[in-house]
Amino acid sequence: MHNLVGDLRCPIDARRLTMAAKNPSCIRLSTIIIAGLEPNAVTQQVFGLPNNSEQSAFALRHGTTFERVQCRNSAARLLQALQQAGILDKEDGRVLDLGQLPNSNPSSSVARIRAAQPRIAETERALRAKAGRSVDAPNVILQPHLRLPLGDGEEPSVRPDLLVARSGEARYRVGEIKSAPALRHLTDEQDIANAAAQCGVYAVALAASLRRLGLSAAVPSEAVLVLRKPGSFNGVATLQRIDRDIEAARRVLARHPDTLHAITEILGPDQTLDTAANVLRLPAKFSGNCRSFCSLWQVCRKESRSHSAPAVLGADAEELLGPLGNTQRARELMAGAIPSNELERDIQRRLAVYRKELGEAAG
Amino acid sequence: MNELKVVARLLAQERGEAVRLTRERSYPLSDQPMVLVPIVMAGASPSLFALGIGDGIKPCHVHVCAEPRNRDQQYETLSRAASDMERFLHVWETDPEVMPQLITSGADASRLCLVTIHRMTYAQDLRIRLVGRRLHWLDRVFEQPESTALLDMPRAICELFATGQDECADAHLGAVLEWLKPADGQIYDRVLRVEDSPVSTATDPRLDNGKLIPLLQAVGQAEEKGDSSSSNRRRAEIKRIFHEEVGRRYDLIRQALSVCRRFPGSAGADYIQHQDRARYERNLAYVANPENLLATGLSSNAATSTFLARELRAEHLEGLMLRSVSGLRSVARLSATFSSARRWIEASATAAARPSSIIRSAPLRSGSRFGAVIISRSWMTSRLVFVCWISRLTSRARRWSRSSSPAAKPNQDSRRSVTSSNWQSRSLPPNALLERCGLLASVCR
Repeated sequence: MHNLVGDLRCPIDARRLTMAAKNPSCIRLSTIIIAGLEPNAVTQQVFGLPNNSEQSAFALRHGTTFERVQCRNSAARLLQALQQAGILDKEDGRVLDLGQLPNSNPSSSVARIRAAQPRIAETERALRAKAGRSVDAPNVILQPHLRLPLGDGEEPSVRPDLLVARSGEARYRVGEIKSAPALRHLTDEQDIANAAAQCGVYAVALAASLRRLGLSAAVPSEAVLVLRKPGSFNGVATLQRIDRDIEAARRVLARHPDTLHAITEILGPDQTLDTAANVLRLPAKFSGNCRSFCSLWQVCRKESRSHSAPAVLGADAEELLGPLGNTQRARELMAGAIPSNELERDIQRRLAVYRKELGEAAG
Repeated sequence: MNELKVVARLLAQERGEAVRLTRERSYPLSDQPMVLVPIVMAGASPSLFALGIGDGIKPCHVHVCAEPRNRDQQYETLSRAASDMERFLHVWETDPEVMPQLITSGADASRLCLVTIHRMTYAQDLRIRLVGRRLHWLDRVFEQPESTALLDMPRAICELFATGQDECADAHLGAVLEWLKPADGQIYDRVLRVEDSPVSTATDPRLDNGKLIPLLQAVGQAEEKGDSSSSNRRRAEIKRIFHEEVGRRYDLIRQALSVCRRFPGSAGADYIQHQDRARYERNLAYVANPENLLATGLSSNAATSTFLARELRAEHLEGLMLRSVSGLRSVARLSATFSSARRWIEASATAAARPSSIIRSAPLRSGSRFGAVIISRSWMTSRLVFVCWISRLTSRARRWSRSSSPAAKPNQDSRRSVTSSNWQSRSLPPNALLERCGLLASVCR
C-alpha cells in the first residue's frame, strides 16, 4: 500500500478525476484518488471486501475491439462516421495516430512518463499548426497527450481518444470513442454522462496546453462522442455539449491543493492509508449514487448506517433531515421528544403533519 | 421532495420492514400482462443472450441465444420469442377488457425491451415484424405519467411501500422484496445477500469470466472441428445457466406482482388503463394496414408536442393520484375546475384523433390569460393543452402568492391552505413559479 505523503504526486487520469467530480464533497474519495490509489484496491486490501468492480471480459474485449477497429486503416471507419455526422468535411482526411509511436504500452510508471514526452511534443506541434491554420495540420489526432496542470506545480498527462477539427477551423475539439450502442432516445444516459465528464477533463487539459503555447485558450464547448452502431463495429458520431462537465472538472482541479492540505491536517504527518482506521478518519459523504462508481460504497454505507446518517434513506431524507444530522434524533422528535431549538421544532412540526397524512393515506 | 415517503422510510428503518404508503394502487395491473426478462451480453447490448416471457403467474418460457454476436442466431431467437408474444397479443386483441401491459424487472430492462421491440418492428422476417409493429406504440408511452403499459416492478412496488433504504437501493427488486418480509432484525444482512445477485439486464461479471466465456469458446472450437455432440452439450449448459438467471428474475417479478395485486386500483388506475387500452387499439388499427409505415423517431415538432402533452398529463395524473395519498388533498386538487379540465382534455384528445379541423374553446376559469384556440392538427392540440396548463399554473401561483404573503388573511378556506401546502411540498416558491409561468407564456405566444 502506498504512503500518502510519498504518493501525493502520483499521476491522475481523467476517469478517476471524473469519479471525484461525481461526489465532490467526499474527502475520502478525493484523497484516495489524489494519493494515486485505486478505490477498489483499498476496498479489497484494507477492508478485506471482495472485488466488486470486476468487469466482464465480454465487455472489455468488445470495447477494445471497437476502438481498434475505429483506428485501423488510417482510421477509415472513424473518418467515415465523423463525415457522415457532418463533423468533418469530405476532404478532411488527415490523421495523426500517436498510438503508432513506439513504446505505446509501457509497463512501469517511469517508462510511462518517459514515453509520454514525445507524444506531448507531437500533440503540441499539431496544436500550433492548427492554430496557424496550416494546411498540413491533421484533422484527427488519435491518442494525443495533453498536460493537465493540477495547481500545485505538478502536470500529469491525460490521453483523450481523439482531437478533431475541420481544415478551416483553428481549434480542435476533444472526443471519446465508446463501445456503448447508439440507440437514439434509448441510449444509456449513464454512458453518455460518463463520456461527457471525461471529455470535460480533456477540454480543461486542452485549454491549458493552448495557454502554455501562447495560443487562444478557448476550446469548443462540444465534444465528439463516437458510439457503436448496434449490430456492427461501425461508429456513430455525435456532438455533445460539455460546458457543465468542463466547469465540474475545473472545480475539482481548483480544489486539489486545498484537498492535499486538508488531508495532511486530518491524518497528521507520516500517516498512511494502509489501515482501515486511517481511511475511516477521512470524512466520507455517502449517497445512493456512490454504488454506481465507487468501490468503497459498502464501507461508507455501513458507516453511515452506524451513524444513522439521513443519506442512507435517500436524497429526500437528506434534504429534510440533514440539519438534524441523524435519523435517530428525527425518530425521537417524531415520538414527541422536546425540541432543543427552533430548527428541531420546525422539523418536528413537519414530521408530525406528514406522519398524520401517512396514517390517513395508508389506513 | 416527498416528505410522506421520508417519514415512511424513517419508520421502515426503525421497524426493519417496509411501511405501506397507500391503501390503493395508483396504476393498473393487467390480468394478462406480458412479463419480459431480457439478458444481454455485457458490452454488446442490445444483443440478447436470453429472453424470458411469461404472464407473471405461470412459469416463463426462456429463449436462449448461445451466440448473441451472430445475427442469424439472434433473429432465430427473436422469431421463437415472437410466437410466444403472439399468444399475449391475441388475448389483448380478442378481449377488450384486458389491458395491454408489459412488465419488466427494472428501468434498464424496460429500455432494453423497447430496443428489442424496435428491432422486431423493422426485421426482415414477417412474423417478427408483425409482432414488433403491434408493440411499437410502447416506445411512445415510455416514461409517460399517463401510461403504465410498460411497467417496471421496482418502481411499481415502491409506489405502494417505503423501505428503510435510499432510492438507488430500491432499484434492486430483490432488495425491495426483502424489506417486505416480516422484521427479524437481520434486514441489512439479508439485503446484502440478495444484492450480490444481479437483477439487471446483464449477468454477473464473475459468471461471464468464470463460466460463460470458456463455454462460448468451447462451442466455437467444437463447431470448428465439426464436433456437434460437444457443441450441443456446451449449448445445453449455456441454456441451463440462462434458465436459472432468467428464472430468478422472473420469480422476483412474480412475488412483487402478487403483492401489488393485493391493493385495489384507484380512480387514477382506471383512467390510465382506459387511456392505454385506447392507445393500443389506435395503434392496432393503424398497423393492421401493412402499407402504414412506422417512424423510427419523432420529428422535432412531434417531439415538442409529445413533451408538452406529457407535462400536462403529469399534472392531471398527480391530481387523480393524490386521492390515494390523502383525502384532504384530493378535495383541494379535484375541484370543479379540475374536473372540467379533465373533461376538456379527453375531448381534445378525441378531436386530435380526427383529421378535420375543429374549433373548440377550452373551459378555462375566469381571470385566465388565454381563451379559445383553434385546433386543427395534433401539434396544435398540444399547443392548446400547453396554453391551458400555463393558465392554470399562473392562476395557482398568484393564488398561492397571495395566500403566503404576510398581508393575506390566514386560511380563508381550507381549499386554499391545502393547495398552498401542495406547492410548498414541491419546493416551488411563488416568485419562481410566476417567473416560470411568464417564461412559458412568452414561449407559447
